[in-house]
Amino acid sequence: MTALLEAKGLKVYYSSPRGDIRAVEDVNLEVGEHEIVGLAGESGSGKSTLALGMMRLITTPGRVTGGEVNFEGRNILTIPNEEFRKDYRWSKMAMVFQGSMNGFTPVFTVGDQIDEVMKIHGREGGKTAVRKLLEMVDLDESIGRRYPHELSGGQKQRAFIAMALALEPKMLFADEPTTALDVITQVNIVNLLKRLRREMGISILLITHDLALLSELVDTAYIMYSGRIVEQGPSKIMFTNPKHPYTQGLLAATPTLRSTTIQGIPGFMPDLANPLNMCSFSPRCPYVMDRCKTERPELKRTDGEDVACWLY
Amino acid sequence: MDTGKTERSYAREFLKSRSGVVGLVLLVLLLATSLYVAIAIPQSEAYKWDNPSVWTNNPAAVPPSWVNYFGVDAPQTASFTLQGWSGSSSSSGAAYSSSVAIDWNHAVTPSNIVLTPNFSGTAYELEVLWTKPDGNTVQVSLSSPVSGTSYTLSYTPINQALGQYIQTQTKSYLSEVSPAQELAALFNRDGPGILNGSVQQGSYSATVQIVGATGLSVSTSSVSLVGDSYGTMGTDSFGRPIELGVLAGLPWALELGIIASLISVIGGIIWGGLAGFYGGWRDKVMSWGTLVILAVPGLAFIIAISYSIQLTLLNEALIIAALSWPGFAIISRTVTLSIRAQAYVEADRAMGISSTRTFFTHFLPRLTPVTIAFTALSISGVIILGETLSFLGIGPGNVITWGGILNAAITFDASLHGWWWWTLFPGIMIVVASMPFVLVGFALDRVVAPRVTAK
Amino acid sequence: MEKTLPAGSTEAQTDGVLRIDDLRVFFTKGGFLDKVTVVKAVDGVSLRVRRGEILALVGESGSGKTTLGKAAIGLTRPTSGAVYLTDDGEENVGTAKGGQWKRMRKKLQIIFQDPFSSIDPNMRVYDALRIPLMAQGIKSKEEIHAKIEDVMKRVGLRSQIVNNYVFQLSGGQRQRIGIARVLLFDPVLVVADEPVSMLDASLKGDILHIIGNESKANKVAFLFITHDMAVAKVVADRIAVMYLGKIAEIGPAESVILEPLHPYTKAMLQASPVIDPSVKDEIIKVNIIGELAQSTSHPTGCKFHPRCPYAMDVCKQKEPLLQEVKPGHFVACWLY
Repeated sequence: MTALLEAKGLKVYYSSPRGDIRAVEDVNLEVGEHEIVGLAGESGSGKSTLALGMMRLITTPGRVTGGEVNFEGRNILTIPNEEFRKDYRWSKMAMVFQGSMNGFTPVFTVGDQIDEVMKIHGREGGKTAVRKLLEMVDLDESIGRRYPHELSGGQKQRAFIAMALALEPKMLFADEPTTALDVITQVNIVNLLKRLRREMGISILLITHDLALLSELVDTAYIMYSGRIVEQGPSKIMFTNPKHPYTQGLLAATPTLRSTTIQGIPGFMPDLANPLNMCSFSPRCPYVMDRCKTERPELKRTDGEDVACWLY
Repeated sequence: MDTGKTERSYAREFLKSRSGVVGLVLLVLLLATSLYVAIAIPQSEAYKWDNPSVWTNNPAAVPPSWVNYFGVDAPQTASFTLQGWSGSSSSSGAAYSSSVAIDWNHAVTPSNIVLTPNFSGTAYELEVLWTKPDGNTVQVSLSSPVSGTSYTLSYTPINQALGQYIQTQTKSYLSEVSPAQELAALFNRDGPGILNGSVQQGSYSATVQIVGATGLSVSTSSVSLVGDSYGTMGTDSFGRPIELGVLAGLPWALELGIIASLISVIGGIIWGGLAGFYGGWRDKVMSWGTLVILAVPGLAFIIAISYSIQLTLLNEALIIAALSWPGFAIISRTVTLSIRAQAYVEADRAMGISSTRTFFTHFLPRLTPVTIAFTALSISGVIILGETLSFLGIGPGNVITWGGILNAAITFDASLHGWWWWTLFPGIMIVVASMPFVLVGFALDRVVAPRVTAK
Repeated sequence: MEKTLPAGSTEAQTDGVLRIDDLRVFFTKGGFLDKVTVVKAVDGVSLRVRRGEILALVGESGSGKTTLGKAAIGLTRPTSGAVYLTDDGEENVGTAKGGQWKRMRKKLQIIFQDPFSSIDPNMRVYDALRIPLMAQGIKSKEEIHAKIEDVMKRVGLRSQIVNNYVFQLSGGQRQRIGIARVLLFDPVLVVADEPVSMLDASLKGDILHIIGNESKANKVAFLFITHDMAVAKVVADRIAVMYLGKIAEIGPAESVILEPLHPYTKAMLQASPVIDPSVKDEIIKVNIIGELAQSTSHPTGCKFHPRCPYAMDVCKQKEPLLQEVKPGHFVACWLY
């Protein structure tokens, strides 16, 4: 099955006085049609940079230094700006961020802004179209007549998702879409994403640090550490039988209603400007062996998943 | 706002800026020069500026001497001493004379000739015999000369004597004789066309005889052929060297700039900082005060005040400071308010730490770098303002200022006469004095308050 | 507004350090030319905190939990009702002024949510700890040094770190300094305002362990404010669920989580994610109407009734009081 969106060997570096910071190092990631993929990691893992790289949103001092991003088979990194803006951004791939709800201009109504997006891209737009979009995100059509500051956080975020869906994209990037929202609103947004996949067939790449949230939503999960993918696989397999010590550590560190205590993971992430030929997690790994300190493990198929660890 | 900068990292980042380093170097040079001037040119020298008689020996309104390198024939002043007085003193009287040879190889005449006799005792008459290269002579006598006086061509008896000489040569009547004509008489070939001729180049000699009463004794006297160029920056129409004015004006400009800036910036920052820190009614009152002063039209105010009080360096600085501080207060208040919104300020309160202590720990270190940057920038503005006021004739008396020199230049129609050096050098100095502060100030400003660049 | 149960009847009288009696904290927004709106951040809360216990205040934004926490230690003044420090005698926290208020700082402290802004990044760690000590009146260098060494150990940091600048530390380290700073006071009660919500998962555990340890070993009571039920479960002895300024349910942590009584608590627990890939294709049902309530709305009767799936007529008219339904487990709901 060809993937709708795939990153191949993607590298994104940031220039700094100390040298290049390798935020994303040689990452492969696939999102299939109608699939929900999750990308999890902590701060500094590179997950947001990876997502930005795939959306062609990297700006100085960052730059894509290698690899390709193929959407429907075509490398979107090489498409000229104008073409990408007209044909891909928002119409084929749309994005929702953590602060997106503040992406509305305060001086126009929400409905007007959604309408404008459609018209700019040559679609008809109009009241009915806006109403349909708001319905899709479970918002009453009266919301369209309100100004952004009159809406709650959850309503704004959903209105933004409506705007993201305005051009019927095939792919939706969602970077921490629920982090600033309360838990009940969060569940509603998650349910919404599930419905969108079911009813619109849209594919979603969800980026988050919340593993519990991820586990309840995605088909396939990628765990990212220090710029690389350390484990990837179907979420059913990964969350019932996590293989990489980091994944295990993260799961043990995530508080859920089923936890009695949680553990931290001691140590720090390595310096991304000084890559060494070793497993980046080894200083913090409870199962570290000699080999881990001298050779970097590659992703290997193990029990239905891909894991980068010398234990396997 | 907080990017984790320490003093050392500020300094390091500042040094990365080329313009900042250049500015800093220039600044050090400027301050060193000013120090030198303050020491080397004592006030007494400066006071001479207002006394035109001091400068009579200088050529008036002449360009800098280096124009000679550019093909302009403008000889500098050549002075000759009359020594070796021969003669005698007897019971009936005394008479001494001395001669000096003068080689003149220029195509232009000097701008003036100054004779300064030095003697003790009573002198009845002074005679000068001027011999031109072609052998012709001109004789001029003065009666009752006074020792130490500088006699120039404008001295009436000399003027008249030379006028006579010219009339003899041209066989026509002259009501008045200008110094240029006097010089023509002394340097050109004799004949009816003496006034239109060209300068003879060669050996001239001047023989001076002083006749006086018994007991007369003559010491070293001098003859100066006042040149057509002077110094590195020329002279104004009083013969005052522009270079003196330019140097002497430096300490004043810097002092005004630094004093006014320090007071206005520090005062403004503290005012705004306290307003933002206290909040409430205190803030309202202090902000109202800030806006009222801000609304005052500064230049008009200063001009008006200058009619009521006598300006000195200090009170001019204070007045400028009093009008400039509001801008800094407004910025400082904004900065303070943004700091106040930070959680660590609330944390201090929760720990029972006093407000004063909080101010010194968190607010002051953040306001200091801004203060320094603004002071540097402000100095350049004040310098220019001070010179502008001097140019308009407003400022302390007895102080040499570049604006004052420019004022004189306008008054004496320097541009009309083509005396470019009179306006150029003081004008450049105003820029040169403020430039380093601008460079340093902007470099500091960039380090201290980095602007967010649009992505 | 009916009073909640008289003070003392909700909580056992054992070794309490803090007593809150029918506390109300109202804020007025607007005024002058704008319409005046009243935010009833805390609207009638009574509770007691025992020595060394960790009491979690769980609620969404607008529930009043942060305001309650700040009022509990005297950073916000009550509009009505009172807060008493009962550690050693009885002192009114809400009306304390000047020297008395400052003395209370030794016993009542707060840890903030954002480690990046609650400690001045441009300071040396040593100064960040020294200055609060000096504010308490401790001047001798040896004593200062000893106390700093002690707290650094208690939060699990190497003492050499005190020579660094705060901006050189990571978020997790800074939060530990935030806790260390508070422990310098030997407080009796610490309000922890969402202390782990801005930290990565791998760092949460350590902070929660430190808090747990201080509570057990050094008998420091914590008012642990959070929006995350799961975090409350992991760290708290008792949990109080707040809604629009009132306590909806309060009881032992296990009891509240495993046998929730209030419909709101049940909804929150339904919405809290767990590691469960099997539900990825299912719509998760949460038994509640609508989303967040506005903090300026003041429904009549039970504040929760507009969103409650079980709302009855009485709920719209009269406010329910906290009642003990199970041992130590109280709920304010007409269903009981």
